[in-house]
Amino acid sequence: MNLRKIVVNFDYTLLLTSIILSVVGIAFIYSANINKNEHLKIEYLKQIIFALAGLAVLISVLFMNMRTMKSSVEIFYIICFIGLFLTLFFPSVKGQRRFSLFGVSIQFAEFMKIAVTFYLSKFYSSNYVNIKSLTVYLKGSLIAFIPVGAIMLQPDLGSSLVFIPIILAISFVAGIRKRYLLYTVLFFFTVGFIPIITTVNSLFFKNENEIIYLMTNMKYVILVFIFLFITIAISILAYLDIIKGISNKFKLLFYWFVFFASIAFFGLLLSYPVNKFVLKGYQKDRLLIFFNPYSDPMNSGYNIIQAMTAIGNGGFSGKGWQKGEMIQNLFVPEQSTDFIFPVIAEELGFLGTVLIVFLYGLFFFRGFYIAINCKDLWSSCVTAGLLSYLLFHILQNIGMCIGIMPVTGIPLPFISYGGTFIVSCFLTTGLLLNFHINRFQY
Amino acid sequence: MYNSSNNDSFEKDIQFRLIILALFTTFILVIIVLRAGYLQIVKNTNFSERSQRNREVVIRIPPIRGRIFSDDGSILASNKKIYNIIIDPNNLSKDQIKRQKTLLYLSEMTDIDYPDIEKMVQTAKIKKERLTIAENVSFTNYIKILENIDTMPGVEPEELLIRDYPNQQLASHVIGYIGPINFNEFSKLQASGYKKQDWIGKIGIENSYEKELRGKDGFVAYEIDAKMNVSRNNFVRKEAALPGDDLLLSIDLQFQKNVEAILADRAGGIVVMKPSSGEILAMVSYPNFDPNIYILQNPENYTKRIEMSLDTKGTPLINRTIQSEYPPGSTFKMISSFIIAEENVVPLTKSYFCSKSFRLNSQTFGCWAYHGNENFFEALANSCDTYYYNTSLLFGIEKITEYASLFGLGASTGVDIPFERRGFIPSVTALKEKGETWYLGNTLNTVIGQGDVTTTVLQLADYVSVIANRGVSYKPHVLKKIIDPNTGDVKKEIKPEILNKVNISQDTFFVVNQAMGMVISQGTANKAFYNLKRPFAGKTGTSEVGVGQKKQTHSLFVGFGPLDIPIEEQVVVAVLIEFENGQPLKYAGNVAAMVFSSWIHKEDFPATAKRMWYPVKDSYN
Repeated sequence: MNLRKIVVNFDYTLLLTSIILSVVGIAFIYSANINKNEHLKIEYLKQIIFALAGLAVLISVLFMNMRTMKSSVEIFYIICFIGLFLTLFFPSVKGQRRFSLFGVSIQFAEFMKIAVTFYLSKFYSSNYVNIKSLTVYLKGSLIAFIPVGAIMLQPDLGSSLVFIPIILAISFVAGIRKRYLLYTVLFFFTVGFIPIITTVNSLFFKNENEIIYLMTNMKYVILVFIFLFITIAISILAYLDIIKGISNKFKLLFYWFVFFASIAFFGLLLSYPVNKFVLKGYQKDRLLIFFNPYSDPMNSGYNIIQAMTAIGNGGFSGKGWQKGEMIQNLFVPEQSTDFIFPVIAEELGFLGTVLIVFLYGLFFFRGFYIAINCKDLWSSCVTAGLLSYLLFHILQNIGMCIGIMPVTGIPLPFISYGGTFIVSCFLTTGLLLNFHINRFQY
Repeated sequence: MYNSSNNDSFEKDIQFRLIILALFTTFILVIIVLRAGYLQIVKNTNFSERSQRNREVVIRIPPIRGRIFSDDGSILASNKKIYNIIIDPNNLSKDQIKRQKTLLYLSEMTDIDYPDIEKMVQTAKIKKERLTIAENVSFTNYIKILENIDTMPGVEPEELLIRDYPNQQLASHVIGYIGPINFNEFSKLQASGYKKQDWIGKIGIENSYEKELRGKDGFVAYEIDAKMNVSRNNFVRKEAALPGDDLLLSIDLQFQKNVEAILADRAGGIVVMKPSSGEILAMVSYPNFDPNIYILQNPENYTKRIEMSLDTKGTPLINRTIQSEYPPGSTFKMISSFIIAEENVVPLTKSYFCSKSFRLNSQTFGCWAYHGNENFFEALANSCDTYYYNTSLLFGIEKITEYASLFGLGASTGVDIPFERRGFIPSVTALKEKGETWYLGNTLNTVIGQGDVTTTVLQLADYVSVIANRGVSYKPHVLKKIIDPNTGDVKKEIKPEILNKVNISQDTFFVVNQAMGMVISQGTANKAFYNLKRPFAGKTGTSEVGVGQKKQTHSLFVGFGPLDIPIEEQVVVAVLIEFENGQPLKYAGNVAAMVFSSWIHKEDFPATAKRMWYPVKDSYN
């Protein structure tokens, strides 16, 4: 009976799209590695095995009862969290800690994304009555950002960034007040403010812009903070009627002042230590080369310049499979993982780009169709979270290759080489399909 | 799950927000496609170029420089293959004994002491340079080293084409030399494809016809990968270098040799030119130099080059026929003769009395001898200053300035050898610009070619050409033909080009020519030309430089002939000998007569000297 339901209610387009994407991925992993050593040449075989494993996961997810899943989501969350916590005790490899037992390494961060999606969605859907209240949003944020903190400690900035769009998308769909979301978005931008302006300063003003100099000068910064603190305090007092005799219109003004000034206050407060302690030299370099890749063409800018050159060299119809001039001469680094997109873009050209984006578009079209047809808030939130998770990966990965996003080591869904990631992509697809199959049930 | 009352609206809200999210997703995907399209379609050419640059290592093939020939087809400048031995200090054997063996062997082959080689290798290693241990190794030694090259890692043979000037000093000022491009030249010529390691013509023909001689670069492009592995066997693109054009000069090599022998070691310059076309047959300047010392960059040549540039007294690099300005002295008097005859200043038969001095107000102006009564013809023949002092007071400085510029004095001739000087013809306006006043004394100085008047030897030759041609002169040039090096076809032939056209009556030319003929037949140059026994026209000159104790004289002669053959076969000769100071062996008239003799009889210096009863000496200083 269960099987019959699956067959009848199945979304074949979604499954087919994801399979085509991974086949394209395998083809180009093969193409990217033909001129490399024996060890890398078999990457495509491994990827086939991973994809098959992913499909197996997908199928097993189809039979999962999401109700049970929903009730036990806290356990999943806690297991992932413990995993993340334990990861912190493993030795760091290439500056990053990895959980590995008996040669099998598990990236708990990857599963944590799904766990957070589930748990946050469940939290919102069980509090949907008070969804507009700030406390719900704050509690929800806590659920999300505790694991983010653990991941940041690994440290894996790229993976932790993925959580931000997931949280925003779920909160948005769940109906959290938009000003809170705006607050969050602005807050994150403000945290990045100081690193960005120091980068801009060194890149475009040769460190001689006076305003930026003032902004990073401790004396003036303290003055600004004192000013912000006092004005915020006065505004709060006025808003809460402790200072009396202020009309409601002015109260609204004070409200928005506190809103923006506190973003500035807390954001900047975090921004200085982030700039100084959290961001590493290479991460600042990445910001630098995002603004101008040619500032350091032989070092940190090399990857992005070569990737963009390969993409541009592809032209309209590309150089042909296994014939990419930049690719086959190994000018683009990490061709099978982070920089797989340039391989496709050079060898298939603009047509290849359109094909990939079209397949992703189809995937999202079906994905949102499933989300809209979900019968409860939880499923809608989960699908939205999963979709935004994939979307962020796509935007970030392709975006960095074409120069509209800074470089981070985030793989391209279904296409990039990588065991855990493709399995988790198929897991995501499986979950979407599961929601679709059971759309009449819950 | 939802409350039944607001279930629908709540669900609608969620759906609305999901649609917004979907639209946002679409927006992002569209941005990605647009940006990728911009890179792949709009910017495709840029990126293809860059990708090609990334993937190719282009090795430049320098063109072979064109050769320079004299009129009779002898080589004046060509390219010679030399063999160099290069040491790459980093590739030398790490085994000390082997390394020492290699260096000892090289020391034996190149005649450099072993400790010196060791030192040079050490410095090269610190500078991270390849060391050219021996330049221009003899072919036999080169072959010997080649045979053993396999046992000597780090030692590399090199075959190079270098510029070669087989005649050494001969016509060195005409040919010039080439040298490594310097910073100024490079910044000017970078746009036309010059590279920092290029060589370029510095002076002479090598400089003025640089464009024709240079040829066009070729290249071979090999494909490389990111690890800089070059696949040398299959090149991607290739373009052969185009050799530079060969130049055929109007210089007659044998005649140039003879003239150089005639001038011998007197400091000065001689120009022999065909008045009917402007072709320069010989252009001699002494002291001269050997252009070959600028080619090989070895210490020996370096010392020689330094000596050359430090020789401020001899200035061997200065081409005395075009780069030095001298007062023309009496050779300038034809200008006045033309004025007198053309403007009818005085009747040609009118005589003035010369008593070896001429008083103007309180100043005394001397003549070089006591002449007595001299008319127009006698005055030029005997070069009587007094006659010209008297007449110049009648026609004035303005006429002199006007006529001198008519004959092209004070203006560059446009000869195809670079860095020509213009000379100077004084005028009232020029002096006024300097804030000085013109006195009649200045006119008297100017009329005898002294004072501020300066000319180059080539200008004098050009000025005499006008007289020889009776009204026109052709632009002097040394290039005759540009020849395609592959086919031997003539690409361009230089046609005579009118330089100065003088609108003076033929009668005037006739009388001036007659007077110039009298210079040879009975005047100041009579003795010098006596043994030639052919009619010529000319004018001697002695120009004074310096004042008082330091006063010295240059000896000049300008002339053309022989007059008994058609103008097409006549030649113009202009001779200047520096610091004659009355020494008979430095008298320009004799030198000019021998040049004519050598030209007429096609004979070398000793033969001509014998014919002219002229002493043959090792040195004429």
